[in-house]
Amino acid sequence: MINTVWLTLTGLGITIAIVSGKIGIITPTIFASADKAIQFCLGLAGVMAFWSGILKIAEVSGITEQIAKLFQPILALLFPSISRQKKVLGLISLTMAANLLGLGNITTPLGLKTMTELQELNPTPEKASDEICTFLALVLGGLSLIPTTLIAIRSQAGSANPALILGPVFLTTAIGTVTGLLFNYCALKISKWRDHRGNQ
Amino acid sequence: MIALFLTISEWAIPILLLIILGFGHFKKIAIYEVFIQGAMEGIRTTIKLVPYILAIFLAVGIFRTSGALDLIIVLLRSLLALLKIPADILTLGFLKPLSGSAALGITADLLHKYGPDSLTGITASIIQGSSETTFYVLSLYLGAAHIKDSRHTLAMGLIAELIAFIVAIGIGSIIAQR
Repeated sequence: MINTVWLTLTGLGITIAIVSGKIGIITPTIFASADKAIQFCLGLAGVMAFWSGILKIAEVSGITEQIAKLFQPILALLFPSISRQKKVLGLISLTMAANLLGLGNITTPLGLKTMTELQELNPTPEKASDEICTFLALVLGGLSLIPTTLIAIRSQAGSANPALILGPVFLTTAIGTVTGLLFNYCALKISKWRDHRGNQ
Repeated sequence: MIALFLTISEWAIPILLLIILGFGHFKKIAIYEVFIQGAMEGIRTTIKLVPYILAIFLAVGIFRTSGALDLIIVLLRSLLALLKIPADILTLGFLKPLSGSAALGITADLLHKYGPDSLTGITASIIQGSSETTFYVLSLYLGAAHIKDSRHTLAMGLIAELIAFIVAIGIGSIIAQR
């Protein structure tokens, strides 16, 4: 899948540049993108290191497990097979909470840490596990209660009511998340059914 | 109410930090050493991510500057004119899954051009707030775990995105009518 996407974006881009006579723009774009990627990684490295350090303390002292207990009912429903892995469940809860509160720069480090922990429980490391798919459904749904950046740019643009969109954004992300979860649920059921048939 | 939300955002991280450090110390953990150990893991994860980020930045960069994105939008524009959806909104909807910073720039532009409380302004705001940078998030998250087979997750993300886009346009027009 990712191979196709990568080829489509790159190949279609280059082809269209050739057809429209803008081929000269491709080489500078490659260098600019490479440069931007490294700049981005440098920025990410700082917050990643900081939050990974803080989360390690939270993990060792048992706070992550306490947080998992708080969200136990929902987590048990979404992640039935890892209901005993309190550490991972705590991280999942923290990622979602950070997303809800619009703490953008902490969501990515939290999410990536959660992914590495989920991957340790993955029996098929090359392939996303059911739990990883469910977690990604939650992340891509992007449930959001306080979109901080959005409120900021709305008030900057002189809105009479910058927070007017809070309710609508929450509702929209909730619908998006539920859609993702439903799609995920069906896809997992189908793949399970296929595996089952393959074994017979 | 905005003041309250912004206060929550401002306070959340410092307070969280205080609680984690305080509780760690209370539990007699060598918080400094544990922090260093965790931070080192964070650096290692980031280094492993570099090739994935490079790959996605490259593909999205070429796709945008070559005019491929614009072309797709032009092709869809006539279709959307029938549904009375502004073309700028469509650009935003297409760009958001590819690039977060570019989408934020477009939203800021639209808010200034049409006014933040107009139909387009409100719809753009809801789309900006409710959409995810799907390609980027997926390559980052799957990259951190070194997963090759992403199964149905890309389709799942894009469908969630499409539904959110449609809902955002619906809600936007309801709010703007009042």
